[in-house]
Amino acid sequence: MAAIEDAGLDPADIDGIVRCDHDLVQHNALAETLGVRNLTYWGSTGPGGVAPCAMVGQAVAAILSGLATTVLVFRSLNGRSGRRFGLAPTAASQSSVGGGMTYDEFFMPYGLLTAGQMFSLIAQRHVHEYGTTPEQFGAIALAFREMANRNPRAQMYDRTLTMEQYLESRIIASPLRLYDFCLETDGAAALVVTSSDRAKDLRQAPVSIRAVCQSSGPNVQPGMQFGVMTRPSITHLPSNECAEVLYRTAGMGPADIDVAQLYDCFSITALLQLEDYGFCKPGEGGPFAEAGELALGGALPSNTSGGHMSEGYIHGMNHVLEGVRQIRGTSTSQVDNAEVSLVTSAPPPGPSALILTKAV
Amino acid sequence: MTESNLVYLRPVTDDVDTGGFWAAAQQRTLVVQACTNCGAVLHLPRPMCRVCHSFDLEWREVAQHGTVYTSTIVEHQVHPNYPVPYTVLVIELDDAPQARLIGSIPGRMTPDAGTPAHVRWETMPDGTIVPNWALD
Repeated sequence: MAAIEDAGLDPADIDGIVRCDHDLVQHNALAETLGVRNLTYWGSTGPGGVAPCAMVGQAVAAILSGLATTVLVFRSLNGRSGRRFGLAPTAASQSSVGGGMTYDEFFMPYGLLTAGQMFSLIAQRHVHEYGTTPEQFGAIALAFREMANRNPRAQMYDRTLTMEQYLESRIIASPLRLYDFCLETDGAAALVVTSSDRAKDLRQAPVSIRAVCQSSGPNVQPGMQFGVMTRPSITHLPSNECAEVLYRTAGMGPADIDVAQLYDCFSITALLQLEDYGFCKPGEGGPFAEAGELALGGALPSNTSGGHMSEGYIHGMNHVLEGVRQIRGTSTSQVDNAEVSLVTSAPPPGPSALILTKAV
Repeated sequence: MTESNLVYLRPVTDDVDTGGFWAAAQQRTLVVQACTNCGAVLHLPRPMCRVCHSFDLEWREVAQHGTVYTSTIVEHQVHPNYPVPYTVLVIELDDAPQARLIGSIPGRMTPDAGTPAHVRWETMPDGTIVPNWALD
């Protein structure tokens, strides 16, 4: 409702809804509750954190094709009080794992149970290949925490973080520590997508979607997530291909980006995307972060609301909202004269991303 | 210590796509799926070759040796039957580096990439035999 009111619209104006495949809320339940008159398009995509930018892409496609005029895009989850992502299957009914094209039988029996452990394997490979240091992972955690300390809505608003605290924090799965991990959050985020013409006379100055894309890259692995371990390289994710498509569609390159919201389920995830989206060379994500480039005034101010690691975990949808705020000029860590705003969603097994600009 | 069982969660062994791997494991044989038409190794196993689209696939026996690709020491326990600390290994097979398998060893290790490893067969209480890995 807040997103609809913010736009100066009424629920009756909404004729499309896009949801994340992991969301417990179905389109019909939401439409009925809001008082939507007639839904002419609904869709969902995923899996999970892959979805947010792709969901906006579905809204754009629905509008351009005439299936809908005004599309509500949302993600809601009880990541703390409800299903907690970091827990392994422990119920007696789940004493067997795998089958049915999940491929979990090749991974979970060995105690590889969570996304955090998987990204730790990726981080350790990055350490093997490039000598990435704890201080470099820590620089990412600190940069996003500083942003959260300016954002009253962030879970970590009143909790500062020093490098000493980071280095003394407990290892969850080496080389990653407590502060390399995202938060568990109960929350929701939503936005309204409509045509440029329709947006002109709405309450807010519109933000343009310059480009939006999904990209699997070649040989996308089957299964929910652990199949990533069988990629030719696990330090080069399909976000590389996604960046290529995104920049080509936008007619832009990494040098044009003023501010970025990078999917940060873990520090390593953000680090790999610094490389994949071309802000530094492969292997140089660590030094890039350590040089302070992610802070306000740096080469690429990033996750200016605090991101998953310090604002909250709304599965990447909070990143889209913050990308919009940067163009509106309403972020609590506003980048001066921000005109081009990048948002990315989870890298494996095939990410999505978008570029926002001021409406022309 | 190396004789202790680490595997608690039983793999589904009768899946239509992956069952052949586990049937061979029951005989303490390590296999990977391969295409008989073009020779490509297919891991994770699937119904059709992703290179030449042939359905003529086989289970090819490979040496029970490999090297470490990456690893992590799990310090935060998420499952009551996987006590920490333990180390998860990602192994590249000597005979088929395209196929990476997972292993786990008790305690804390950070082996260099390329460290040699070999299969250590584990028999679960119900008789299921699972290929796990140990460093040479």
